[in-house]
Amino acid sequence: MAIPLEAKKALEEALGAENISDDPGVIETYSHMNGLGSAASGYWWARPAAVALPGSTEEVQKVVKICNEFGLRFKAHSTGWICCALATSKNCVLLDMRRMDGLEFVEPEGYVITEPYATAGETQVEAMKLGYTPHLVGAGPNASNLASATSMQGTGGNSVRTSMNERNPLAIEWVLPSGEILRLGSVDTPNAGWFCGDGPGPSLRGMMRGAVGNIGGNGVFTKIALKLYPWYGPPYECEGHPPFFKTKELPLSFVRYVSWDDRDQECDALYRLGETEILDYTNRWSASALMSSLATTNQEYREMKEKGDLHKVFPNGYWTFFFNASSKRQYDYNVKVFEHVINDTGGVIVDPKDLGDPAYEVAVQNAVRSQWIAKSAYMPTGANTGVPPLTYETIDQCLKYALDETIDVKKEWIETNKVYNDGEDNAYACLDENGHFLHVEHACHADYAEPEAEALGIIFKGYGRALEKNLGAAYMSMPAGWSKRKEYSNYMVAIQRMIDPNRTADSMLTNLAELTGA
Amino acid sequence: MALIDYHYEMSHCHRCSYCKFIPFQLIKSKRFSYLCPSISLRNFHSFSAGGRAALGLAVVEGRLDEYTDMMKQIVFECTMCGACQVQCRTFNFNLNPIEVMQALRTHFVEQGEMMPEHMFVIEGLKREDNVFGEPKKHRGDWAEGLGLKDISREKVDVLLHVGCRMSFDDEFWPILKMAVEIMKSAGLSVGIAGAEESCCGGRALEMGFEGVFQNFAEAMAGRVKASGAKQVVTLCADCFGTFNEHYPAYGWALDAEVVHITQFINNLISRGKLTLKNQVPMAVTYHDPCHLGRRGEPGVQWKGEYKRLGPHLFGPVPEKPIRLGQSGCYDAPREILEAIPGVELTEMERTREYSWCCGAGGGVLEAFEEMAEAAASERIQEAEATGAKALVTACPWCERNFKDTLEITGGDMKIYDIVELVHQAIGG
Amino acid sequence: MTVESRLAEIVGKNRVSGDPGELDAFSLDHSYVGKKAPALIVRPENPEEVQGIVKLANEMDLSLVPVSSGTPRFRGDSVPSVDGAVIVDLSQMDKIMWINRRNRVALVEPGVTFGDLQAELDKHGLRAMFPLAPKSSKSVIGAYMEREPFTVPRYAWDLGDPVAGAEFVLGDGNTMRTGGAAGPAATLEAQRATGGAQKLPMSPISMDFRRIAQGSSGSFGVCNWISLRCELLPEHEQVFFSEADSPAPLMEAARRFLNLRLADDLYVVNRLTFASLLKVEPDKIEALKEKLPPYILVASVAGFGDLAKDQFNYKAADLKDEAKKLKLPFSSRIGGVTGAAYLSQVVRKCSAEPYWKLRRKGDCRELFFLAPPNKAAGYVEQALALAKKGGFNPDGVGVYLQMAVHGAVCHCGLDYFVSPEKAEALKPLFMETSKALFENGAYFSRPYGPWSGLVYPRYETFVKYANKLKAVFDPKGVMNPGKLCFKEN
Repeated sequence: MAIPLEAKKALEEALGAENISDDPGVIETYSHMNGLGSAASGYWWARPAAVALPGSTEEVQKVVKICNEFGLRFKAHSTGWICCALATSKNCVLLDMRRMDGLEFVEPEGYVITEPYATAGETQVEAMKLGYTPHLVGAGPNASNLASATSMQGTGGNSVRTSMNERNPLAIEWVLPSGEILRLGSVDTPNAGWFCGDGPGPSLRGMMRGAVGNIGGNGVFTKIALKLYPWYGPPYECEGHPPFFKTKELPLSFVRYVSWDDRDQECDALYRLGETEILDYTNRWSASALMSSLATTNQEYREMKEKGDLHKVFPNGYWTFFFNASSKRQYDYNVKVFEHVINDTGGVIVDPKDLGDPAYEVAVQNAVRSQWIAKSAYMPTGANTGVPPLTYETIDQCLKYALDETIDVKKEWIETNKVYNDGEDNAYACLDENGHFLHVEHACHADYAEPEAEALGIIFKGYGRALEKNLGAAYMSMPAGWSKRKEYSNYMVAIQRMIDPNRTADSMLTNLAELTGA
Repeated sequence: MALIDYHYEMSHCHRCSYCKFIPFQLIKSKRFSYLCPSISLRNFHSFSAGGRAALGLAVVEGRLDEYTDMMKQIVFECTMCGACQVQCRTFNFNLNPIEVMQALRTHFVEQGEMMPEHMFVIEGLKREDNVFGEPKKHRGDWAEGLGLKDISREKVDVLLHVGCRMSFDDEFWPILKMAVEIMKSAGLSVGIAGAEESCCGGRALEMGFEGVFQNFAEAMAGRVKASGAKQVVTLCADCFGTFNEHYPAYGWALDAEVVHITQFINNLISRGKLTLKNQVPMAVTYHDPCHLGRRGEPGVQWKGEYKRLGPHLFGPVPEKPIRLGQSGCYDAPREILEAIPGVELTEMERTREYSWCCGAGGGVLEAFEEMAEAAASERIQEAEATGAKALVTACPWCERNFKDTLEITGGDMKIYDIVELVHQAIGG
Repeated sequence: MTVESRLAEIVGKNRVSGDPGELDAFSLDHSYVGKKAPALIVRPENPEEVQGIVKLANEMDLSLVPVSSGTPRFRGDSVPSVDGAVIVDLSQMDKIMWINRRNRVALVEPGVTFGDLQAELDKHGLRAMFPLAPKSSKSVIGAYMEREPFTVPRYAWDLGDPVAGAEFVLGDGNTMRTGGAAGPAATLEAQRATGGAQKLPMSPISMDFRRIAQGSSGSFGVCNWISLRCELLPEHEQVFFSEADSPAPLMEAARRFLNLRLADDLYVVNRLTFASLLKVEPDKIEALKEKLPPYILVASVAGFGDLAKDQFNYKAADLKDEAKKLKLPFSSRIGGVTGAAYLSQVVRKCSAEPYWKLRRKGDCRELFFLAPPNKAAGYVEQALALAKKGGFNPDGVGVYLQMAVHGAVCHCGLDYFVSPEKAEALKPLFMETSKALFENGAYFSRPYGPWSGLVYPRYETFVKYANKLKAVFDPKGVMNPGKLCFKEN
């Protein structure tokens, strides 16, 4: 849909003509996505009506008000690396937040104020200079920390130490779909700064997001403060050349691959490892995922797969565990208790270096900078989606119940060649908060050059299974789940209407709900 | 390859935005984390490698009814520096963005959608064999009185290919003369084509004029062969990259080793044929010219297609060489600088194959002044952040753009061609 | 029918009270919220009765004030703001519904106190996160629904911790579960049948009612139960002390210890607070206080789980080394008090009677707020200087500095120990100090009573949306009207 001339004029006045475009060439490039989540629908999505590049909170506010005035919808995205960043309605003005990429470290308080386009990787680089690390989402260092903290999910391998990103925001600045600027927490108290996001009184963080955010449907988060976590080592450094840079020595660091033959023992070990509180990073993958990280071409990947060496080492899923200790004593204790628990539960420890330097680099770069997880997740086919059940809850629920359901669902799709056969158990999992809960999702690949490719169905099938088997509150993220617990979702919809009376925000969730009649 | 041949690659861009950043393993600061001058100026995703792949896909799938000025800007406001290629391939098996962008430009030109400013260059090339449209007869004026051999009359060991910029921008003539002095000191017979030299064709290719490029490549190949030269030496990174990457990729081979002046000098130093004895007290940083570095990597002609390797698994058949820009010329200039007494070299944060472009390449200098200036200004700021007082480079296009930018923005940074420092060091 | 008889229909006659003596106990507390007597007290015993009460309130336009903890009370949040309010006294709902060692979780009703809970958790090798020596009647839910800090900042990922799932009766009478308890299964048993344990703190999709309800003084609904994260009970544990003339170096040390994850209990108190925690009689408090340094850092070291002894040993050794690096005294004894004595009397212990804040003078006025840890000492000094200027002996102010959210925030608690008859006279100084601290950046994240007038004028949009939000969950405004930023009906 073409943007009304008057609306375009207003946007040009608000942002400067160079920061708004409805040129078909521009909007077309914002409707393409063959990556995270795109296995659901192929690579072309709705064309936005226009793309705006706001440079400040005030400019965001102006865009949102103009959208309200002219009956347009809007959606903001940061680095845009997921299909949810795209417009889901044709009269949508997409706000590409690239011009808002500020990072401000507040010392000695020890937190960072971030704008939408500052990436997790950049944040970590600067944080490490000060002895901190932020949470890094598993999608990679190229993802925005603000986006995962406010609007999407925010799980990553270092969640065992940092939790997932719902738990990390401090003060928040938020342009509501109505165009009002809402600030949460300490920031409106004179001279207080951004160190706290709850209150005063009730915490309105509760209307911002739950286990998952509203994926752009709640307005635009223009600035948030994020908690940082200690990093004991020197700033992480690599040398060499792509694709396998060589990590410079990381003092007092420890990384190992571990696998178990028995799922019960695997769960027992994870509970006990969580209780030791020694880990900074945990990540479950499969041999297939490791191969896709190691291979540099599809041919190489195919050859590795056919050779099957890594499958022999890791016939089931395997875990990567990493820690960085603050002292030799801590290091020694950590290693001792780690080996004690693994040996006691029948686990097999593999030093990644024994599989070669690249395997070590995959492990350590993932562990520190979330560098290769995404490649593991959806190479080599391009399109990817998580197969439900994907959930957060206890270790037992995720690995003893949900995982088998995903394997079962995926098996059917593999057998009909709708998705790629990367092994039935290619589940990604990571511990959160010393094992207090766990996240699991099952990577699923499809290449749309394959005539039989079809992965949208697997999502609905998986969600259906999750609901039928009562697996995890996070499953209610999909509208199908809303109807399962209407006493919950009705209020969510009511809040949505309260903050967005004109239905101005382009919400993928809301649109999907309308589509599916939830 | 035609744009349509890149359909698989273009449709498999993940929009991961790696093409916008230097490798995340190597980022040293937020300030200098960006990689691509094009999107860094225009900010729309369209101006990144990923955006251009999407545009190309839309074009070949017939999703666009017209070619707009904005689309042309998206396609051509890019220096073709190739940084995106280095980053993209570290993550994505299936996309070669620099090839896609080249094909996109060629496609636009074939459709008659070229930049008017580029037509000035192309007409100049057609008329006078140089990108400035200057009278061809003056091409060798710089060498007057130097006693260089004329390859049209005699065979030589070394052919010095000067390139358009240095031939017609007399500010570079002293540098050329210094280079000649250094080369002669090695006792080699050095010749030039003088007025008969023509453009390497690289600019034309990167502006999308493949046919024009092919003509110049053919002429160059013939000239080299006739000269009997074993080495073609150039001071111009643009020419170096064209000879090394584009010529082989399009099936042209020069019957001689292509050597950049920095490689030539470094070789003399390492063989003890050149002694750098004089102190050149200077805190410097070095700018990697894109076409000397990542785009100086030897190209390979690949003929094949993306085929199904198995269910849901596709790939180029035969295997396509992976180009990560690592085989370009990076060490020679650094080793020279290290060898000059008194020179203190401090690297910028973005170096070697993930270096930030000066902004002069790909037809940008000719058609998009704002971008050329913005890119150069950014690089000068990065140089300043090292504490260096001088920015040394090894390409006249980079040098020209840095100097022109400094005239606009002001600043104390000195800009040198590396040959100037060598010349000082040998007491020339 | 009268309100009383309708309530009696729901809970039984003997659990509805209009006794003036009982009502009087809810009409005033140790805060500067004005006295107002409720009309009735109702004491439900289960969630169904709570729901019945809330539905009745909607029907009859009643105002409900949910109260979980017993006396003494300090914040004024349970003193009605309007006439004719009904106190919903939840102390009878005192079941510990479930404890699960494997998943380190317990489900408790509002009437469960910290003492009750820990006694049960001991049997499972678990521990609850305790506020600093809570009063014996302190409800676990009462503390955590009001974002009360606890003494082990290492386990405080978020101000909402350690609450995981919860069940509420909303102001409109509907029931909602949050976090891991939200679904998809309707019952807890069905959730557990597939390995669930109501452990997830985040609620489904893009809303989290638990967060909204926390810190709201019951303005959105009544909490029926929460699931709370527990941690392993230490097998080896020792308390160490450090000391300084001002809180600043101790806060710096505390942050360092927290960053290194070496300490469990970790906070800074002044000598008055320290003495009050350990001694009951005023003269003994004074005597101990005289032996103590002005400020004390309390740091416990614990070993638990696999190789507990090894864990304890490395932590204790590292902690001592760190203290040495910081050039701070570090010992397991201070002022004659041993770490072992402190451990047995204070760590994971409720206060002996009378409540430690009332022992010295009989009354106490709490002034508390949040600050970044590095600024906490400055605010303490500012408040004590103002006390001195206002004629209140700074030595009579207890200080408690407790980091939370992994050290992103510090709860700064200033306890003005005062005799009951002088408490009212303290009010101008109390408010003047509050105002000065607020203007200087102290964040009153729980702006009870008169603080609401100080804080909320700066939060115009926040107040607007907080009220809109209340209208979603409590359209008739029956829940504790008039508190915080919320309008009276």
